Amino acid sequence: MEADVRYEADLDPGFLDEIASLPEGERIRHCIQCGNCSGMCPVAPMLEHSPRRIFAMIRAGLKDEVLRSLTPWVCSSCYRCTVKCPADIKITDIMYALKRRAIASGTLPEDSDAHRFARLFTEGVCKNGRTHEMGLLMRYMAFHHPIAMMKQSGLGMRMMAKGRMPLFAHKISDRDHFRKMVEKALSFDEMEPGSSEGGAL
Amino acid sequence: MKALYYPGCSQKATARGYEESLLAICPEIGLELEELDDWNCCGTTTVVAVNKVLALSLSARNLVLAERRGRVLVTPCPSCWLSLTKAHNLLTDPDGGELARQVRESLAAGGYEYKGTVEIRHLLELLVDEVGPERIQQRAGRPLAGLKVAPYYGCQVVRPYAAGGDDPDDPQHLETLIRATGADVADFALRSSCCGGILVATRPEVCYRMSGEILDAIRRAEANLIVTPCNLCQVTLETVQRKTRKLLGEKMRLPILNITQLVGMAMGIDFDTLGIDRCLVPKRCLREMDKKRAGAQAPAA
Amino acid sequence: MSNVRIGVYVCHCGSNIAGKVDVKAVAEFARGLPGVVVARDYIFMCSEPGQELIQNDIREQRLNRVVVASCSPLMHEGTFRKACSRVGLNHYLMQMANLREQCSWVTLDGEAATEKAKALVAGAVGKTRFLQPLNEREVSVKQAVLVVGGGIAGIQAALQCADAGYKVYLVERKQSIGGHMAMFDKTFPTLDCSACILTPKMVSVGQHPNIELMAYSEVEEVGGYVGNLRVKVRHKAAYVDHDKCNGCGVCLEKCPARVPNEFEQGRGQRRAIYTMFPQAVPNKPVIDADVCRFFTKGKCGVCEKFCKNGAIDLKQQDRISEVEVGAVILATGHQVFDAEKMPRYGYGKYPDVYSALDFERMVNAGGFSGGEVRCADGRQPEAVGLVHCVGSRDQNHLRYCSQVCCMYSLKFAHLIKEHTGAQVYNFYIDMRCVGKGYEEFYDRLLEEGVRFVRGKVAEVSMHAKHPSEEGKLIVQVEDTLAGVVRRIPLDMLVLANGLQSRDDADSVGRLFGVSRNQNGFFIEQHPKLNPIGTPNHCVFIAGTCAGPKDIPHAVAQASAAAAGAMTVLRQESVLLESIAARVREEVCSGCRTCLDVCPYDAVRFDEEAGRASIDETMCRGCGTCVASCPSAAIEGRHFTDDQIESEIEGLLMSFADWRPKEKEEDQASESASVVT
Repeated sequence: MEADVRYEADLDPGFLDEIASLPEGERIRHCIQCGNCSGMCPVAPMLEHSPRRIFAMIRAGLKDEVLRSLTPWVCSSCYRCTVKCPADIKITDIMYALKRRAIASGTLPEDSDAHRFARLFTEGVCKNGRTHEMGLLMRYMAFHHPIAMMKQSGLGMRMMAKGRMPLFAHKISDRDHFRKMVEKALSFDEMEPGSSEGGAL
Repeated sequence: MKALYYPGCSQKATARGYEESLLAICPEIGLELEELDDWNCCGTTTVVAVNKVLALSLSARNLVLAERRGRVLVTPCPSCWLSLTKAHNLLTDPDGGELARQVRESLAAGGYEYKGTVEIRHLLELLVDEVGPERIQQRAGRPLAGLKVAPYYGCQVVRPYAAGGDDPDDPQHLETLIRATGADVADFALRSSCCGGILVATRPEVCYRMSGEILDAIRRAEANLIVTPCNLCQVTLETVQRKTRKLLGEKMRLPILNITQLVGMAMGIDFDTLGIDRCLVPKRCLREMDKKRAGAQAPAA
Repeated sequence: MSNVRIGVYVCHCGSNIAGKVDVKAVAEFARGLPGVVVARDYIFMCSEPGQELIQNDIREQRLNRVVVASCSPLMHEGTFRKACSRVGLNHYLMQMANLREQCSWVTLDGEAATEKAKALVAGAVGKTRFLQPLNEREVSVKQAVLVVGGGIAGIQAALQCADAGYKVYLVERKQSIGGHMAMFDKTFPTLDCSACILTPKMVSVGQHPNIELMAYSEVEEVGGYVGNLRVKVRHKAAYVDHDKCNGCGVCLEKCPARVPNEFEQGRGQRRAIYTMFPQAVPNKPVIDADVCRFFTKGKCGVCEKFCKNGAIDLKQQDRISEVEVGAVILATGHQVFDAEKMPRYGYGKYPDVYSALDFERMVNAGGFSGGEVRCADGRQPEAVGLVHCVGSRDQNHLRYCSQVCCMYSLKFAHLIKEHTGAQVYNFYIDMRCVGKGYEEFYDRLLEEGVRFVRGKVAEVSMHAKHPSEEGKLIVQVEDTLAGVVRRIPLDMLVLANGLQSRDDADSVGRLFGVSRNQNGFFIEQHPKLNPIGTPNHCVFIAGTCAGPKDIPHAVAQASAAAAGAMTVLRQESVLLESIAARVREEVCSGCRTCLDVCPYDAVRFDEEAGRASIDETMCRGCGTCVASCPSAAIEGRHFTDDQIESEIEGLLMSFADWRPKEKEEDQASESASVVT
């Protein structure tokens, strides 16, 4: 049997401070571990670590495990936990902060490529100003889930037939000013640098 | 009333029917919309996972464009509504801090400045508060009597902020509008449960399970159709409904409409104009739904 | 001013002040202020040696003014006043500067704190130069106590004072005393029958020669001054002459109007003429005019016809009486949190979701179901859930722990097991069993096989997702210890509603000059050392109006409050503060502005002379009239224009050549703004 003792020296006691210093993290220290969030969460039953457990892990300094956890990536942004949290913690927003940290530090869950989807989506918006659903799905599915794409092709064809999947991307006209804004925004990075997948797009 | 219109990207693609029906009912309900010129993607939740400053700046640019043209900005997409609202709240918060400063600086780099005067409203609250069920009823009579409609809110129109001051624990805006058309409300427990739409590409199995539960609840409530104010919920439920034989052991083929399509239907506007024909269910399911209401009306006529 | 000789005493308060403020520098600074002949710092100025330091200087240095720069005057003004008096210095010539609550405790910046401390000291020295000796007046104390509220705390306080020989007026809003405790079935952890231990006390109140019980009454107005309060009480019209009524109860049977019974949480029925419960004290009925057919429809009068004693008086009106008391004990109690504010728990939606009080009445043999624990459809429940922390420990509702819910939920768990043998689940966040015999009770329940699930219930629904859930109430909760989300089907759910301050606590507090904390409960004079006193020296607080607590703590607090009230009465006389307003009659133009603004009814007007004057016994020195007088004819004694101007001058002077540090501009300007 493998010993499951965590030596304090291996943990990151600053992780809680790190999250608490973010605007969305200001109340994280007030968590009373009541589990209200997990009880309400529509995806918690499908998670290895419930949201409550994620907060306990942040508190314990299990940084690597938190960032490699699927939980933030399976969060569906339904905000149920947030609106009823008895400690008034912005749980959903913290999940996003964890995703940003995971991407920036390259500490990503092994069995998810949701971060790639997020990056593809963001790249598309930065380029054209708008989302092109068809293009995005094609790129994401073709690269990462070619078999699933085949299975879903019927749906895609049907959407196209119904006029709901335009082939070409729409581009906004004032791309000049738009690009400048985007570049400036991308220069602000709350994340720690130096990861393979991190940095600006 | 006059308002600026922010469609959001889906309105031009998967949710084309939503936009078509909205534009079709506007003259009937006295709503004058002007589409925001050169609008861009709101950034939605997906960009927030990559860069928060960028996501907020994307939304804020739209607010800047809107501020130049008017005051009220309406959007039919709950996710856009939430993203725009969050950007507005941050930039009008005196304690916005470092984040607000970074967003303002990004805007300034593109030559934009947001003063904070735009009033962002979701279409659903506008339909209830400004247009009013009376007006819909007056225009429509009770043409949808005989139909049982499942009101499905999804998440972001009621959480974390409830549009138009609706009760987040027991929202009533959709019910109000459904009753105004003469249709019955199919009561079911999961009205504001999450369909998992944002996971449909990355975690389809999770999404199927979430939407499957909602569809199951609607089936048990014996609804004839589903109506939602959310474009993403609409397409997600449609997608998952195609798998109900596998998920629930029974094939479901309910028309899943956007709220504007229901209102338009009540006003006697044809399915084509309302984009109802763009639904993924077979045409005959739409005809069946139509017959149900005609049937109910026959004795009266 | 040439003969002014001021001593300044800067207290370290251990590290409370000296940890932030450079006390040596403040004393050094004080030495340079005009009129100061000596300035010292000391570790605890309030200690005996500290006081002696001051007294020695008064004697040896011939000081005629003293400034003590230490904590809030609320803490130690009395101490230093007495120290001065003992060596013959009129204690109104002693001024305090608050370097603790208003300075060292509210900043992290030591340098800014030191500068502010200097300013506060300079202000106090400035004021001190113009202080005048004043003499206090002695007045007698009315030998009676008013107790407001007839729950267990009010009952205990009233009996305690009455047994000691003091006259007590006990005012209760409802028609019977007993409060919440009268609704309970058993009491934790001993499982004593609540009524069995309460009713003897209620009867004692009703029969006590020293207690005048004013039930169905409310305090309307409070006037007067320390030790001499004039209290107006409204006696609500009962439409029954209680002197004639012998409590036979015939009217209760004959009355045709039925409405939901509030005492039974709306679950049973009562008539329009009713008593609250069989053991009520006084056990005389009242007519609810809102539902009585005589009042709503203009005809009926059945009760009048059947009453052999002619006690029914349908023309009765509210009556006002006035009593004079030397002390007041507020025991106005609490209300329970309304669970409908948390719709996800289904209260009011599902018939088998009960509030804690619903369940107390259900399980009580005298209650709406005769003590049978049954579901709404009459079934005996096989599985029952107890939801802890309903409203409590929740930033959206009550931010505090209600302190009693863990224990009463354990009591419920035991009673449910006893009555039905059902499986019982406790859903808790943390078990808080901190009282005599409480942990042992928890241990007993564990032994009895009650199930405990650590997790805040996320939601309650009847939406079945599994065949075993059909027709059941389903609790969805994360079992945080097992780390899994559980769905538990139940037949009945009892909510542990939190305790909160009463909706009208604000107006009651204002009536008696008692303030409330952020949660709405009355604030005590000192949270540790005077938990029953208030800044108003003759007003005391007891029971749940001061914060959630269980019966033993409420009783203990009530006894303490009674002792406090009796101490005031036993002294027989009190000294009145000399800080009062004074009208300079030669300047008064007779405009009467002060008459309108005085909140204490202390201004008198001489019609003949056309001049106002102040009744010093009534005046509390608030200064409202001083500020509003258009002719500046009113002077606030101890707060004269000279004194205030000199104080302001002192405050500002010290800042004249102080500049915030360049690099910490933000921080410094923040602390500067605290001063201004």
